[in-house]
Amino acid sequence: MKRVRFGRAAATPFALLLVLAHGNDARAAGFLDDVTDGRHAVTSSAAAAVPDAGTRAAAVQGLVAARSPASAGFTIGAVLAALDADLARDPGTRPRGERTLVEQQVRELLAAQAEAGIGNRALCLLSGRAEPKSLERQVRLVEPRWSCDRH
Amino acid sequence: MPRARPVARRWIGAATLALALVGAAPRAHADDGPNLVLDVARMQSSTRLSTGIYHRPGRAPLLDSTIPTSGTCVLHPDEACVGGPGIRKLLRFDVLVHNRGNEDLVVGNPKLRPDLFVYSGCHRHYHFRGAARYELLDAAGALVRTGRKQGFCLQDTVPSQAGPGTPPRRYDCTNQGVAVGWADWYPATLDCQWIDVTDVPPGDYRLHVFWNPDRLMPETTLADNEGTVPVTIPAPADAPPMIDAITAPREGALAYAGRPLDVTWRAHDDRRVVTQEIWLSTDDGATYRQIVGDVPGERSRFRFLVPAGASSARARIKVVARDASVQRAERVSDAFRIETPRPLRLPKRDTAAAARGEEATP
Repeated sequence: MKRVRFGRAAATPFALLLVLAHGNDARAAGFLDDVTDGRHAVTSSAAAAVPDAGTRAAAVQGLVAARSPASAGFTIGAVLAALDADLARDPGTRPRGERTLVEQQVRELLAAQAEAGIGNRALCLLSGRAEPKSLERQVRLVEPRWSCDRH
Repeated sequence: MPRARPVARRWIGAATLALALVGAAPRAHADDGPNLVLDVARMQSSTRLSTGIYHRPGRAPLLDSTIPTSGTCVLHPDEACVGGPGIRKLLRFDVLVHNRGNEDLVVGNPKLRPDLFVYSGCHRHYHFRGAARYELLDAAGALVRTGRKQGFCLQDTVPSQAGPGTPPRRYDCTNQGVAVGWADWYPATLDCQWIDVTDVPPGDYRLHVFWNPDRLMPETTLADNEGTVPVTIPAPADAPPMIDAITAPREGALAYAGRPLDVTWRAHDDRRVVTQEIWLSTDDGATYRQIVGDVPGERSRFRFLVPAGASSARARIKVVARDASVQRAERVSDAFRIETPRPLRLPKRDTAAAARGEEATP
């Protein structure tokens, strides 16, 4: 049986195509990886354990600003982690200054959501919470009709 | 054999390059179309064991606040994602599928595709039927358990890649599909995104996920739709619970169909019993039906109505206790009888005597 041999000139474009195809695979799941990186950056930071909400918020802003290149996924992960710390707080006892900080974080979250182009359901899933709807209570500080169910 | 002249070789090379470039350009081709690809790395990194307490719809007694309770739909007949109520051990994992084809996967409005969708009365929306198969295999490849997730809603959940360049989101639960560059994502935190591994012996297993196994979604290939990752179910570090005795019903006791029966027992654990199950057999222990599966761990008495129509000369009760690591203990009661209660016989009234104001004598 005659074997087909490719010359060097023919092999070059095929190799190029293979590299392109492989490159596409290597970038897969990048968005979720960015979200995980953002979350991890906050939870592994010493600032995450600080009880003062202002210090925590400043630390998150610093982490997001230091991220290069800027990424909506990273911001979403970082802000969601920061909002986790606020969950245990009884909204009725939250000082006004703290509420302002949480509202600011929610606005950053919604801006990153818009940049990423994802829906509300996805944002609630990305919170990683056993009760994803708990994010609704926080976002409604800024958007009173916001719902996880709205796609 | 004569060698090709240099000019001819250049022509061959140029012609091959031109062919390759034409092949790379968009055109109608057998490989054109959507191609959903299972993200096996994500599946592997997200796989974990967890526990949860589940209740029948409409039942949610206060149990153990340290173990998550959830799932009004988990035990709904439409879903039945766990083997029964009470504490369960679950193998959770993400399923993330990217559309890496060159065309959107378009499914459309579920109401117009009854062949593909089933309406979930519990979730109050349509679910894609048979989107994925979840299996736990043993080391030899034999099937040990399957997942029961029904709630698939094909949509653009997250972009596949980070950064700019992702096309706008197009598909959601009301117009289902997955656009090129987007991924549909079912994170491990979702209800039913698991295989119930309660009572699966400790050991090494493999988790197998097959997306679109019946090819209900049109795809160019199914070759990248499957993934298998190793899973170890570790042996619990604590001792299993124990049931010392079932103190009621006792040997030879008589219970009546349709009437209450008290079951009492003594169970304990080195830490604590979390939930308990009561099972009834009417064939001397050959088969059982579950009466209740989420009796709180601190209880040692349960009253239930013996099913109407039940009858047995040798009925038995089985009590199962589970601790926080979902280890089980069980004990079977002595045999007792279940009979149909006889209708009450009231003495015939002597209407003439009654008319005279006299009492009827038995």
